[in-house]
Amino acid sequence: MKLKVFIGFVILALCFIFGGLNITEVMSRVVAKLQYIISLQEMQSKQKMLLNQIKEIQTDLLLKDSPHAASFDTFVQHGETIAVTIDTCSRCHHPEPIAAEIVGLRSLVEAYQGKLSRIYTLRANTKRFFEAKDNAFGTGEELQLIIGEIFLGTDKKITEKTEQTQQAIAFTRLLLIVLVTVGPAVVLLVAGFVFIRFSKGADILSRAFSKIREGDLEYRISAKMDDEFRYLAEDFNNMGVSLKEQCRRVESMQQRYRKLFESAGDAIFILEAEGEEAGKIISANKAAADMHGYSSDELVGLHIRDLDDPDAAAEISGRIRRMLGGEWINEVVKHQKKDGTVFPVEISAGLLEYDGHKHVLAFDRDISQRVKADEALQRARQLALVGEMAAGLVHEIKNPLAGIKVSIEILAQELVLNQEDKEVFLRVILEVNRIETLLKNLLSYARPPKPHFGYVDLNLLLENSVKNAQVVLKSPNYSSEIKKEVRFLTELSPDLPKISADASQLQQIFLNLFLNGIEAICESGTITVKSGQDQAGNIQIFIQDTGNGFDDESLQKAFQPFYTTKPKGNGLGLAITKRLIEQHRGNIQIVSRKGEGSTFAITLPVEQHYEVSKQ
Amino acid sequence: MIERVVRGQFPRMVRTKPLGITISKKHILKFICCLLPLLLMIGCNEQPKAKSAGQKGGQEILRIGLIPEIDIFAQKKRYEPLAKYLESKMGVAIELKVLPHYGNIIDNFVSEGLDGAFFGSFTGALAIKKLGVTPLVRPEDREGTSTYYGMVFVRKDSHIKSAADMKGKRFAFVDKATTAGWLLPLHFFKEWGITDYQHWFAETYFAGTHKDAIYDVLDRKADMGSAKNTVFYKLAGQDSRILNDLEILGASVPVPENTLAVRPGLDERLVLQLKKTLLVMDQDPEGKVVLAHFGAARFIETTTADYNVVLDYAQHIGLNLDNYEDLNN
Repeated sequence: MKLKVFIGFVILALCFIFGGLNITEVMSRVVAKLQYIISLQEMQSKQKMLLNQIKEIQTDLLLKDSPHAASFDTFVQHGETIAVTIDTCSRCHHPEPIAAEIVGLRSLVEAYQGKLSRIYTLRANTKRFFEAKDNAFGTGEELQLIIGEIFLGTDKKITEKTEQTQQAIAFTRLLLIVLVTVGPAVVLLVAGFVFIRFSKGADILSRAFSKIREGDLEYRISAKMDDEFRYLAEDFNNMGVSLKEQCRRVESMQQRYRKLFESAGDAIFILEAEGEEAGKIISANKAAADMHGYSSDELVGLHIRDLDDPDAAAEISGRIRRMLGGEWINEVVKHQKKDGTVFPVEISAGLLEYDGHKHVLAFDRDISQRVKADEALQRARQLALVGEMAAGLVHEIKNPLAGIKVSIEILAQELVLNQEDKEVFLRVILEVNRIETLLKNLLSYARPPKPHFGYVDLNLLLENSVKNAQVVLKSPNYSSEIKKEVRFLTELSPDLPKISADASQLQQIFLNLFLNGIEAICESGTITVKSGQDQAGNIQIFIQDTGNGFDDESLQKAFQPFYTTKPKGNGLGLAITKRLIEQHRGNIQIVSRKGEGSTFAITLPVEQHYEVSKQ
Repeated sequence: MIERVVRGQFPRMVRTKPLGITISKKHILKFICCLLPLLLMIGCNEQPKAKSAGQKGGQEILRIGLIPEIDIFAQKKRYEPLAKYLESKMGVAIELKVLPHYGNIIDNFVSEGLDGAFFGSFTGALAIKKLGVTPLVRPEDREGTSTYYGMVFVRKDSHIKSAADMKGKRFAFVDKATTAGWLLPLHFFKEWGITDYQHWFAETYFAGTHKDAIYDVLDRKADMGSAKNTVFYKLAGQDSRILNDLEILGASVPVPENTLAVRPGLDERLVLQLKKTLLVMDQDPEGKVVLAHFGAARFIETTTADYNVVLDYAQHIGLNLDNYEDLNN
C-alpha cells in the first residue's frame, strides 16, 4: 500500500511536473511567437516610418528652391532621422540574410544622405544641380521601393505568423483545458481509488475491532484484503487467536483460583480494609460459610465482627490497623456460629491490594478438634507419666509383695489355724495375687516387652487363642460369677500369608480382645473372628462381639489407660492391646454403638523391619 | 501649492478649519506619499534639460559650427561622439551646427549664435581676421601630423599634364572658402600661367565637399579637381579606384588641420576648460575611443601664428582677407 501510494504520488508529481513543463513550454512558444509578431510589427512600423521619412525628404527635394521649401536645418533633421531609424533596425537581432539586407539598406541610406548633402553643398550650373537632385531623388525612390517590398514581405510574414500563433494559442487553450480538467480528474480518480481502498480496509478492521470489543473473540476477518491491510488482517486474526487463548487461560486460572478458593478447607475472607466499611465481608468461600453456619450469600455484606465473639470483636479495629501498617497477623480468636456456638479459630491475615484498593485477606481455621486432641494428648501424657511412676512402683513393690505372699503361705501351712483363720490367710494370699496381676499388667503397659518377631501363621494363632479363651471362659473365675454362653465363630481366610510378628504378644492381644468381648456379653452372645487382607496386602483381623457396645464417650476413651467401665477392671487391657499392636506397626479401631456390640478391626503389616528368625 | 493640488485631487476631504473642514495629518502624510513618486517622475523627465541648463557663468549651451568637409550628415556624425564626450566632461550641453557651405561659417557665425567652430585653415584665417576668434586646438593623427595639404588631381586616363592640356576642361573646386579646394588651385593656376581660369576651363564649379570633388573627377563628372589630402587618402582607404584611377598633379605646403576656435567674449573659464579637456582627452581611455572614432590621436594647441602659411597663400594669389567677402558667390 505504502509503495503503491508512493508510486501514485510520484506519478502524480511527474504528471504535474511534465504537465507544468509542457504548459510552460507551450506558453513560452506562444509568447515567443507573439513577441516575434510584435517585433515584426515594430519592424513594420519602423519600415513605415522610414518610408514616411523618405517621402518627407523626397518632398523636401521637390520643394527645394520653392517658397515652400524646408529650411536647411529641417532638411538635415529629416536626413538624420532616416539614419537613426536604420541604426535602430541594425541594432536589433536579425537572421543573417535580413541583417545583410539591413546593411545593404544602410549603405544605400548613406549614399542617399551623401546625395542629399550634395544638393545643398553643390554650387554649380543648373544642369549639374538638377542631375544631383535627380540622382538623389532616384536613390530615394529606389529606397522607397526596397523598403516597400520589405514592408510587404514583413506584412506577409506577420499574417503567416499571426495565423500560426492563433493556431498555437488555440492548441494551448485546448491543452490547458485538457490539463486543467483531466489533471484534477486523474488526481481525483487516484485519490478516490486510494481512499476507497483505504476506507474499505479501515471499515473491515473497524467492524472487526467492534466485534472484539463486543466480546466476540471468535470473530475473524475472512474478507480478502490487499497490501498492508492484508497484514493488518492477519495480525488482527492472530490477535483474536491470542486474545482467545489469553482469555481461556485467564478464565481457567480464574476457575482454578475460584475452585481453590471454594474448595479450601480453611475459611477465606476478603474484607474491606479502609474507610467506614473497614471490616465488611466482600467475599467468603464455602468453608467459611460452613464453618459459621451461614450461606455464602449471607456472609457477604456482614461485618467480620458479626462472626467474632465479643472479646474478639473488640480487637478488630486494632487488627485492621496493624495489617494496614504492613503486619501479617497470626492469632487464635473465638468465632461465633449463626446458632451462637463459640469455637476457636486460628486466623492468618494480612493486607491485600488490588484494583488500587486495600483489602484484608484472612484465612480462618477451625481448631476445635485440634484443641480437643491437644487436651487428650495432654491427658495421655499425664497418664503415661503416671504409668511410668506406677511401673517403678510395681518394680519396688513386686519383691516385698512376693516375700509377703511366701511368708503368708508358709504361715498358713505351718501354723495350726482354725477354719476362719485359714480363710483369712487364703483371702490375703488371693489379694496378694490380685496385686501381683495388677502390677504385672501395669508393668506390661508401662514397659511392654520387646517383641521377638518370627513368621507366624495367624489363622493358627487365632484358633489357639479362641481355644484359650474358651478355656478361660470355663475357668472358675468366669463360671462361678457369671453364667454366660458365648459362642465363637471363625471366618478365617485360608490364603493368609505368614506374617512377621511376636506370636506370644499377638496371642495376648487376641486373648485380651476375646475376654473383653466375653465381658461385654451379658448372658449369651457370639464372638466372630475374621481374617483377611486389604487391597494394600496388609492383614486385617476383625473381632466382633454382640455385647453391650460402647457409648460415644466410652468409645473415645476406650484405649486410655485406667479407663474402665467394669466394676473390677483395671482399665489397662485395651491400652496394653493397642500398645502391643502399635509395636507391630499396626493399628486398631473400634466400630461400636451402644447396645449393638462392637467390632475391633486390627491391621497388621505382613513384614516387619526387624530381623526375624524362622520358626 | 500642495494644498491646491490636494484640493484638486480630493476636494471633499481637504477643508479648512473656519469652514468646518479638517485635514488630518494622516491624510496629508498619505497624500505626500502618493505625490512623491509623481514629483520624482516629473523630476526625472525634466532632468536632461536641467543638466544642460545648469552651467557655470550662465553659459547653458555651447554651439559649435561645422563645415561640410565631407557630406553634412557624415560630418555631423563624425563630431557627435566628440560633442557628447565634451558634454560629459564639461557639464555643458554641446549643440553641433553643420552648415551647407564653408563660407557660411563666416557669414553666419554671429547670426547662428555660434560660440565656436571647427574652422578649415582658410576659414580659420578669415575668422581670426574678420571675427576675432581665438584658435584653441586642432587634431593630430597617429603619425604626428596636424596639418594637411591641398592636391590637384586628374584621372590618369585624362592625360592632362600641363596647362595646355587643361584648356577647355571641367574643374571641380570644393568651396570658395577652402584652402585646398580654392586657394591651392588658384595658386597652381597662377604658377602654371593660367591667369583667367574661368575662360581657360570649359566649366568650373564648387562641389561643396572634398569628397564630392574627388568623386566627381573619379566618376568623370569633372576632368580636374582639388581637395585636401586627408579626405583624399581616407577615401582611398575605402575605395581603391581613387589611387588606381587618379593622378595628383600638384600639392601645397602643409596648413593647419581644421581648428576649434571660439568667439571673443566667451567665458574664459569655459574656454580654458574646453581647451584643457580636449588637450588631455588622449590620456583618458574614454577619450581615446572618441579620438579613434574621430580619426585623430590627440588634440594639440593651435595659435594664430599657425595660420601664417594660409595668409601667405592668400597674399600670393592676391586675396586681401581683411575685406574678402566673396565667399558664397
